[in-house]
Amino acid sequence: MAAKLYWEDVNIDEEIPPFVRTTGLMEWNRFAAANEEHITFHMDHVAGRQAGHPGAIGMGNLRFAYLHNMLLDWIGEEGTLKKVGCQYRGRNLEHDTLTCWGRVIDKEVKDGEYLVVLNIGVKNQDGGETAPGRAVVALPSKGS
Amino acid sequence: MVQQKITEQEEQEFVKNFEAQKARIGEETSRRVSFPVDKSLIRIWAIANRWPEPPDRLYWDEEYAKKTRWGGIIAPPNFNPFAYHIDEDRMAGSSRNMGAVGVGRGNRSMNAGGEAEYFAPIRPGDIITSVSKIVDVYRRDTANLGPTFFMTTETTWTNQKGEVVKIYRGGGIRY
Repeated sequence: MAAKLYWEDVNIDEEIPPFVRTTGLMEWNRFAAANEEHITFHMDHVAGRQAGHPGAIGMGNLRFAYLHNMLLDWIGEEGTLKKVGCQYRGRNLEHDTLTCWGRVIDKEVKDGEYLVVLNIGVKNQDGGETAPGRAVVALPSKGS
Repeated sequence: MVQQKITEQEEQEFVKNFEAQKARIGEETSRRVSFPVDKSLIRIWAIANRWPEPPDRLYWDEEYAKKTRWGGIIAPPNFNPFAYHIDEDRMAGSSRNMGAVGVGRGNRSMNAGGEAEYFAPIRPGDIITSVSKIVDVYRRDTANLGPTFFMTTETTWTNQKGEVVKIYRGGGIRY
């Protein structure tokens, strides 16, 4: 776990450490098993093609999990995830290397909570944005 | 993907499916009560989330978790306590192997994404009640898929103490 992150240490426009995974049937099937998400186009290339894709595609929920991992790794156990959202704009195909990224766009103190707002997303190896979104985290403050 | 031109018959099929779903705005689509959250399912979830790296100790090591501000194991925020649920659909013989959901224009489905807002953490033993309702259905064609509509659902989870755990607003695209 990284050193404790305080709200005061965070700067607007700062980029947070990425979370990177190369994905395929091993990652998708393991996640499908945990989430009981046994949808054939996530598990089988023929079913993927029948659904109109180039082959099997990864589930959005796994990219959502990766975004959570990135944010949780950054804020540590003293930080709190308040909101995470993204829209699935591009497909996750087999062997894609996904890089979750986040950039701080705002900081505010609201109802006694020290909040940080970030733009987030999941880029593939071609730089294509597959899941743009936004997150809000609460961090400990040095002043409290 | 190269999007083929669609026929008038396909457009009619799409519009029929779109109108049928649009008529459901406001409808409560599901109300479920989970089984008590099991520690092993939390551990499995944490492994699948981060594989091949090991999962965080907070999600499986009680001794470690006790010393954190959470005072014990919690589930990762995105944990789903409704996997392997038993409900009427399952008892009626649904295999949960949904395949390509439906066939034909406006019946094929993908996850469009959404936003989760988190409140109380989920802990082992929690019983989560989930209520979903359809809040919006609108058409927005896409370059990749052609005629497309979006269905937005709002799902609220509360625990056995009546505390809100999560509110998720998101949905599916149908094409």
